[in-house]
This record gives sequence, structure tokens and C-alpha cells, in this order.
Amino acid sequence: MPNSLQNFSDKLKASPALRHQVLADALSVLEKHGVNIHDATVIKALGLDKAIGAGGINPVASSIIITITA
Amino acid sequence: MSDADEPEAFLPKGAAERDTLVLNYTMACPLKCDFCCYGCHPKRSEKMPLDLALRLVQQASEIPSITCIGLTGGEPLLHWEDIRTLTTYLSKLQLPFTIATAAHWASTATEAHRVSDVLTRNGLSRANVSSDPSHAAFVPKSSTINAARAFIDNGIETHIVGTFDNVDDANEYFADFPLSPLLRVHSRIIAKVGRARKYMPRDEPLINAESLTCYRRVYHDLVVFYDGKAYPCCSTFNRATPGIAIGDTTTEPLRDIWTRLQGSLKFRMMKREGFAHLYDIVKERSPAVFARLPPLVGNRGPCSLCNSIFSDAQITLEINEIFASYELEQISNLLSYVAQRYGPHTVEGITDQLTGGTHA
Repeated sequence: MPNSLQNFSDKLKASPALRHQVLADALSVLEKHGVNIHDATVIKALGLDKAIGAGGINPVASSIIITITA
Repeated sequence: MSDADEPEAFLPKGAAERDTLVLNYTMACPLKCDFCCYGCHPKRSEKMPLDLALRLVQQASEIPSITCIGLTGGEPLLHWEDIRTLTTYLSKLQLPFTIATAAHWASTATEAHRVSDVLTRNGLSRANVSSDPSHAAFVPKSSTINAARAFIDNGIETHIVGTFDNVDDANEYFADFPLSPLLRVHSRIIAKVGRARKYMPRDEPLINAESLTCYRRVYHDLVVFYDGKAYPCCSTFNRATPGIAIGDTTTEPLRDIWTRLQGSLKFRMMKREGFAHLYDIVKERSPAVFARLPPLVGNRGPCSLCNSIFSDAQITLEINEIFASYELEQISNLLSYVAQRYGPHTVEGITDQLTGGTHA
């Protein structure tokens, strides 16, 4: 692993907030740096490879919530 | 820019709303339903301070993916002056809102319109009116009809939500509600939580493993209770599941809590891929923790399963540790792949931007 990557990993280990920031912002940052965000390896690493249907609602669970979700 | 502005290709088609900030404004309620998930009743007095609510919606307006505010309780309209002030502020922020109410305030058509007109003017996008024979013991059915009619007259999408044994019972009960394409009726099941713990659950078909996902598969209902505590969903089990609590808005900015939710692979997995995949990850990394998880099959749905898992503080801690290392590994694999494919300078640019000097 290159040094810069190792340093970055060390920062992530020390900061859960940074880890979540990275995962929350990953797609847009990767795209900005020219990475193909539709690449199967990229979206799998980010847990985005599962196809989600229209509206993204699971009907099995939606009968147990306290509000109506559109 | 963040994933709040995700490329269109990643957005579910047909989604009317993205993330919602739900304020569970009060535990006070004119009703005392014997199946209430939060045990609300008229003598409870917990209420969100108005200044906290105003601060939260202001912070929400600065998070691009939060496109709607939800108001619920208890009965939020017990605090009419607060709600009027809050929704007036929402209209200034241009944030639409929804409200869940049992309509105790709609004893006449005139009163119903007085409230509905103000809410509509302030940006009400959807009304959820609770009504069923249990509610009618506290609020006359005529009040819920007045409320529904006033919302519909104002062009508001209105949902009537009640608890019935079957759809036919619900249809018969709601036969005298106004007919309108804006009105929809929903029957809810009673979850074994809160005051309904004493109930035996109805005999329902067991849920297959593939259906064990959160109800929102992509976006979030970020729920903040009257005391500022935040949860990642509107499940009736949320407050009874301390392991999914995601922050405290009295001590940290909403943006940080939203980022924690959006950037958690644990929640992303529960929503997109489901609990079966979460179990696979735990099994692979710690068979000992896996052996202590509640069985995946034979449960009554994802929310009760989630409650079984994350109401155990020790298991929550161990799962969170597993996912912390899983997240590190996924990020590391991703960056190694990018380095190999695009060169180390691309990774340096990415890591520089992500650290930005603020989180290092």
C-alpha cells in the first residue's frame, strides 16, 4: 500500500466521523476526480450495487411505521 | 457537493421525496390507545422546545437531500401555537411538511378548515389522519371526517391510517369518508412494542429472508424525538431499539448526524441488501457474535428483527466494531482499485479532498 494511502487509512481508523464522511461523500468526490462511478467494483465497494425498485419502499416493512412515506 | 446530490442513475425511479426530517414533537396526546407504540396519553407532557425545532429545520434546509419535514407525536396539534410558528418558518425556508394527527381539533367543519387553511398556506404536502374504532373512543369519527374533508378541500393528499383485522373491515368503517382521488386508506398492524407489548401478535405469514430490509431502501426518515435524540427510521420500534439511536441533536449539528446515517455501511446494508447480508458479514468476521444473533427465519418482519438485535447493547457494540473494520476495508479496497486503475495521483487528489484539513 502506498504511503499516502496508509496515512489516509490511519486517519480513518482514528476518526469514525471521517470514515462516515468519506462514505457519505464518496460518489461525488470520486466522480469529480474522473473515476467512473458506474464501475461495478466501485459501486460494490460502496454497497450500492443492489438494484432498488420504484420509490425504494419495502412493502413488508411499511405497515409498521408511524408516518406515510412517499 | 455530497451524495445528497447523487447522480441520477443512482436514484430510484418514482421517488417523490428524498430524505425527510421527522420531528416527533410530543408524547402528549388526547388519546390513550391501548396499542400505542410510545405509550402516549393526555397526561404526558414531554414536548420538543420550539427553539430546538426551529434550529433543526433551519439545519435541515442546508442539507440538500432533506426535501421534506414530517411532524408527528403524540399529537403535534396539541401545541397549535408552536406548530403555527414552526410551519410559518418552514414556508420561509421553502421546505414542505407532512403532519400526522388524530384530528381532535376538527370538531366542526369550520374549526377543521381554520387549522387546515393555515397548514396548507404554510406548505403542507400530505396529511395523515389516524382513525379507527379504537381512536373513536377518544375522538369522534365525525372529527376525522371533518379533518379529511378540510384537507381534501385544500387539495392536500390525505391518508387515513387505522388498525383493522382485515381490509374489508377497514373499507366498511371508512365508507362514509369523503370520496376523493386525494384520499387513501391504510390499515396498519399492531407491533408488539410500547403499550401493545401485552398483545399476542396476529397470526401472520412469516417473512422470507429476502424481504428483511428497512422500509426505505435508499433514503432516510431521520427522526428526532422531543428530547433531541435521533433515530434512523419511523419504525414503531425506533425508540425501543437503543442500538439504532444515531445521535443527539442537543449536542451536535444535524449535518453530522445525517452524515453518520448516510455514511454507515451497516444502515446502507440493512436498507438496500437486507439483514440476511448483514448476518453474512457478521458470520464471516465473527462466528461467535453470529451465533448469538436472533434467528433470521421465523421472525415477524424486519423491524421486530432489528429490535431483537439492536436492543441488546453488547451485540450492538460488537456489530458496530465489525462494521467499523468492514467499512475501513471497503474504503481501502476501493482506493487501492482506484490507484491501480487511475494512478496514485488520483487517489492523492481524492484523499486530500476528503480530509480537507478539517477531519485529520
